[in-house]
Amino acid sequence: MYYEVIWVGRGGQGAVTASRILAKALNREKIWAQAIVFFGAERRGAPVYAYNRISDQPIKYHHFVTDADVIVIFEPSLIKLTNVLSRARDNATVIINSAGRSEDMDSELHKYRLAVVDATSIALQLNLLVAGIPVINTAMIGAFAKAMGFPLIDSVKEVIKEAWPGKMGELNAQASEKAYRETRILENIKSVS
Amino acid sequence: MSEIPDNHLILPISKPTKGAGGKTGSWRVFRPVILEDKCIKCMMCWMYCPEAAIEAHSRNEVPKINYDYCKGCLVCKEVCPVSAIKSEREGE
Amino acid sequence: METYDVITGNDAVAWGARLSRVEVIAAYPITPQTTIVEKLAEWVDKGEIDARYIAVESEHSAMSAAMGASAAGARAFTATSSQGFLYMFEMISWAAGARTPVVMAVVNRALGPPWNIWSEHTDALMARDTGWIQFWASNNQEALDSIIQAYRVAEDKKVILPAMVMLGGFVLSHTAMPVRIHDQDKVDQYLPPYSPPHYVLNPKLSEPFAYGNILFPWDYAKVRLSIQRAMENSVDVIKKAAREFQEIFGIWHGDLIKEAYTDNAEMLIFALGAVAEQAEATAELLRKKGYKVGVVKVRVTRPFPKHEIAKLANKVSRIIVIDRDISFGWDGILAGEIKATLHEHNVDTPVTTKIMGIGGDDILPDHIEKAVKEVYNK
Ligand code: SF4
Ligand code: SF4
Repeated sequence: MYYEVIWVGRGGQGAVTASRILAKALNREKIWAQAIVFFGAERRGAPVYAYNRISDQPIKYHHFVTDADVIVIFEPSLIKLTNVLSRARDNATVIINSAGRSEDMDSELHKYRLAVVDATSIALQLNLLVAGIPVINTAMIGAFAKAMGFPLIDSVKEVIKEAWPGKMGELNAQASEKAYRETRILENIKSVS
Repeated sequence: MSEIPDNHLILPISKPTKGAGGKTGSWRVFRPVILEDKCIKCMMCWMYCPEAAIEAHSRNEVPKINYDYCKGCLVCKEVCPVSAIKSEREGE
Repeated sequence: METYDVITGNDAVAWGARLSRVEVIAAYPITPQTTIVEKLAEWVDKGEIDARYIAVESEHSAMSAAMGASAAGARAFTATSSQGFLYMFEMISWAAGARTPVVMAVVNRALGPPWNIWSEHTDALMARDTGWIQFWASNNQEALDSIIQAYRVAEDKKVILPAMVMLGGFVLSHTAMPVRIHDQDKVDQYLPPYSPPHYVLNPKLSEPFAYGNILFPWDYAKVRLSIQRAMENSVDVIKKAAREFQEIFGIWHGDLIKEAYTDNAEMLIFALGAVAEQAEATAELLRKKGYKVGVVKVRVTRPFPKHEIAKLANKVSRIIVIDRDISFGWDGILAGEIKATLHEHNVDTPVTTKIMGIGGDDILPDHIEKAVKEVYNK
């Protein structure tokens, strides 16, 4: 087992935290995971990258993930802006936050196994907002668990509740579970109606 | 290397003691002399003396110079606000 | 109770200090070190650790306070990085001369200008002539464990010198990975409380005295020579500390060095910290491709493992040293040290310096592979 993951979000959307929560959830299942961040000019809204390496063995690499088996995209607009799909391996899974509108479905996406989740709507339904911005990172971890089949969604929820005790953790855990249930896996983009 | 070598921990530590530099009184060329009738007991000389050679036991007394240790730098003469300290050539 | 968690290198360092039962923490924040002292401050605030946190206005004061605490008999800790490290430099030298066994984490970061917050080793290597023992961590577990080992070595009665533990900025400091957080009882068994063998600046315990007064050349040299003797003694103390750590915790990070794939190697790669572990992962690949390459992680740069390095170098026909640092007008710093070592021991294996990863430039396995192939076929 060896996977490399790229998370791409915008500053403030919590991509870094998502990669760390994922690693902690995997650790509960005795799967070895690194969570790596690239800190640059931290500005709200600017593209932000986080990475994971996941394996059944301890990993000794310490560089950024260059090419990935899994790419998690927090917003369709980031596809063109970052050209992140150029870093996808041939059999990559791409997980995207989208309401499923046809204009979100970049033509490049059809090359990959695709998982679509409307994380923004989930956050709004749960009233999960920080400083007026929908919190989507925990939903994206739920989508990851569904798309990849690991870690167990219960592990994700436990780690989330540990990270934010109280109501915030409860809401975030709900968001991840809801996303886990609602994520649609599409082997080919052309089947999106 | 089973025992502690005695030369691996040498520390420069100094403890307060009288006349650490020896009897510095012999260094003097000029000797400061306090003019008791002019002195206003402000203790400036006592405070500034770099050798702590001026002794004062109360604010009501004119301070006394310990000539065993006074090295004759005349800082006291310089700082006295009322020129109550004069200097004399040693041996005159 | 022993636990496993996925934590950053900075949190691992904070755990190392916590498990070492540090009594005084004095630090000033600087990226990428800040979260170490934030974590410790949080624990002190919540009463989870029995330590005094001294907030200071600069790194110079941080080291002064740590040194004062150590002189008064406390186990003292601080952490810094890059510009903060340079600002502290006067007191870094003083702490070694004063023989205060402070332990400091140094999160390696490039120096400005141009301004840069990413990983480079030049900062800590500048202090190799100060009298501090220098450990380099290659992953987060080693960062935690090296803090504990550093106190063991620094406070040993044959040593009594401060020790710094380095970890790469962001590469380790902000990268989360699984770390075993040891059982406190086991750490207590490994690391007894600090009992100062020399002086205690505590008016209740000792007569007042002054430390570090002027000494004339004929006495000064004796005191400085005693630092050299302590450094020489520390070689065996570091080896014993690593061995006993392995006995109690079952983890081997190496002692002064750690070897990987050195058996029947024709070529060796030398590197520090996470770069060495990156080289180890690359060597695994290269071995599969038929290259007889081994890696020597130089875990301690002071005292410098001269005998160990000369012995290994003598068995191979090529050496490359990967330096994430540079001494302008000279060489990669580690490469320079290794070349001098080989000369001293009459080993004539050619050494090639590869300077990589300056200012956080990512060191990819491809870069290491290319460097190895260039030299291997020469
Ligand atoms: S001459 Fe100098 S040493 Fe003597 S009493 Fe005055 S200040 Fe002190
Ligand atoms: S400084 Fe002058 S006036 Fe003041 S105590 Fe000394 S001798 Fe007297």
